[in-house]
Amino acid sequence: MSSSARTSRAPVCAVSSNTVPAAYEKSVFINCPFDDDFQPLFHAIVLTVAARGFTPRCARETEGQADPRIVRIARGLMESKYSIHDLSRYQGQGADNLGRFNMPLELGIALGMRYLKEGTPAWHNWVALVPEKFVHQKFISDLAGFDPPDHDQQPPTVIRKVAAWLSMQPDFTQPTPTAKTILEAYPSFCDRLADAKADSLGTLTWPSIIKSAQVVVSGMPSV
Amino acid sequence: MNVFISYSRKNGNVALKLSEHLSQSGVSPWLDLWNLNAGEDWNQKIAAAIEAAEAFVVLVGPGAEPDRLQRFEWQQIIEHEFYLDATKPMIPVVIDSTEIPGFLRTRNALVVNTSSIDFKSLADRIAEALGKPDATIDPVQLKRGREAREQAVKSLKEYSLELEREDVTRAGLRGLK
Repeated sequence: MSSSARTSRAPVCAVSSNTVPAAYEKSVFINCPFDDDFQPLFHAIVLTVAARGFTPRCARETEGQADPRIVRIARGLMESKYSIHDLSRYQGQGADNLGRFNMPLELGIALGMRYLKEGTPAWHNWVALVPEKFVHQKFISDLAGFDPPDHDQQPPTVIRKVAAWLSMQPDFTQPTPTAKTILEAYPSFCDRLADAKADSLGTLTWPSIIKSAQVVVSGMPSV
Repeated sequence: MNVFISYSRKNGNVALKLSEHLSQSGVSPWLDLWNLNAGEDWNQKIAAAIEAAEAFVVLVGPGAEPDRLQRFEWQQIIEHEFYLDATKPMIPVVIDSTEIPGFLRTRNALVVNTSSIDFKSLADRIAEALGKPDATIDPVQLKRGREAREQAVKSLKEYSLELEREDVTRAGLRGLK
């Protein structure tokens, strides 16, 4: 594939969705829990990705499609040069205290893309966000040596860490809103999401999250 | 001027020789090899040195990825957002045509080849640039960055509109069922 093709659309892949007009090198696939407890962090990641000049993508984008969820996730990952995997929820849940393995499974797909496609136009880079105090060294010790960014489950830390990681990527450009600017805009983003949710009778859709992010980001100053 | 030297440890010799020549050019380089001692908290000392630095020289490459310690240094530089401060000189020294990380893209880079580095000349160029912070900014890349920013905002809007269109289509299909 030529370099010009690389800068326009996602590389051709077997499970292409043909629906999203986002450039491959600007797409960041977000892999994290989507439940209410995690929502403030998920929204913080979405806003940071959008503010730093990238397009947030996630499995919610293809909700309602007939394909199995893992296929939709694999497709989204293949259409994105970058991915963010939050591994901060590592404890068992529910009456049976079972751990959930979806995040590591999907990180595995990203890892495969990273190393199998190195040197090709479909090269992929990923980051795992982990809990504080090096707990990840016990539950996912194979990430030793990567020093993944940690966070305290608070939006300000997540914004700072995600903004920093994105700044290191070759497709990041300046000028950009500072992390402080993003953090200051976060409450107004949340207000918009609350309004959108109320307008949709309690359902917050991916299109309304992206629209809110787009409105907030377009008003942000950058340096 | 107190200058932090960020380097991947595989470039230890380059960093050391460059720092020696910078010292002779009237610059005060902060190099971990000269400032860290056994038993100290290295991360803490490096973070403090970065916070206190008046300028940065960042050796990039060879290879796309920084090593573990340099990644930590970059995280510190980025989290303090020193790279967004145009008054703070930041000079990337790119070794063997490595792709430059995004946060250094708007800075004028000095490109060298490991097999033929003239350390005295390189140190003199860095010392000269450190005296003129504005000269470390690459106006062409900054202009491209502004265009990219406009394009990014536009692309996000297009993506948002496309999602809305799909949402309406799906709602329509659900209505037909």
